[in-house]
Amino acid sequence: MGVLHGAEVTQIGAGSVGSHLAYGFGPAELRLNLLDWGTVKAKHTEHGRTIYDTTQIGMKKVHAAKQKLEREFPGTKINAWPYSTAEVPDCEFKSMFARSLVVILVIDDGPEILRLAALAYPITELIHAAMHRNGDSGHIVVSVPFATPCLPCTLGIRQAADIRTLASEPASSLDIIQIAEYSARMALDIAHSKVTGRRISRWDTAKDLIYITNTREELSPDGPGVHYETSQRRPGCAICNRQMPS
Amino acid sequence: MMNALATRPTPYPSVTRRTQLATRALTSPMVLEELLGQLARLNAKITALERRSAQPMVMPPASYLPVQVRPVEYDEPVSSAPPAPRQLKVRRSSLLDIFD
Repeated sequence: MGVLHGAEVTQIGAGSVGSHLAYGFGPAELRLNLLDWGTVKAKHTEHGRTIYDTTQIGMKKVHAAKQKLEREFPGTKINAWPYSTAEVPDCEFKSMFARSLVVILVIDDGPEILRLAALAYPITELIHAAMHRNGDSGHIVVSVPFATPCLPCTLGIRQAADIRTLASEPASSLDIIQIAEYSARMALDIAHSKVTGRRISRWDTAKDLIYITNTREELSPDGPGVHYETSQRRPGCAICNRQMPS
Repeated sequence: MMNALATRPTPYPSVTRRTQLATRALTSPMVLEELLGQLARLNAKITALERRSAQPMVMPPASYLPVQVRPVEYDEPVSSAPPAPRQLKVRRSSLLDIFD
């Protein structure tokens, strides 16, 4: 863990998944650019839905996360950005992404997911994490510049409207934490590999879609499990069919 | 120059003071009785504390509402051979209803 002390990582979104994910980064003592415009409300502090507590109601989420993480993990530095992604111009994001070992996207706004995924694709590794209905499952998409398909190809979406946001979705906090911790672990593995030059051994990195079930279902008939899949680039995709600049 | 050791105050009472302590009048029987009474009360307290510490600690009852408990329905073990593994793929449409 100590090898990542002070390494720069960017995370967009500090809601339920995002706050637990950022907390998972704590032991690594990163310099984390954390962006979210939201404010901590009472409902966010109930039943462990986020990492925020009742003393932080009314604070910007990024300031609350900064307060908690820097207090509990003294080596961690949070650069708090209390803005909506739509307020931040492309050039600012590109500059931030270029400095980041990995970018984590944990928002549920379709147009902004597609915009930021396209901006990050040629620059650095991107991890997109999200929960599904009732928190029964979740997914993590890992986009590696010019090595894996881009996020829209992996998710099989053509337009932002294909993504439907679930507002105030009921879900178990432990299920949310499960996806968040898995995402944090994968992001740290990527960062560690980029710093040390050592291969990632935890998972088959050719698999870019990680589907996590929190219950038993068709893909995981015996109970909670993790399913890894390789996606394909769609012919003519304007994002991932480009060649790596030489 | 004065000798610092010689002028330092002695930590013990002077001989005169010791004499005064030795010849002090005895405490009256009334005060002694009161002290013995206090001693008895303290002993009783100690005995009570010792008895209490030997007993198991019982937590005060919580004021939560009782939780309704139902029996868990466990799966029956399947005796037949497991089906051959199928190559299942994630349905991409299942990834598009999301929250963060």
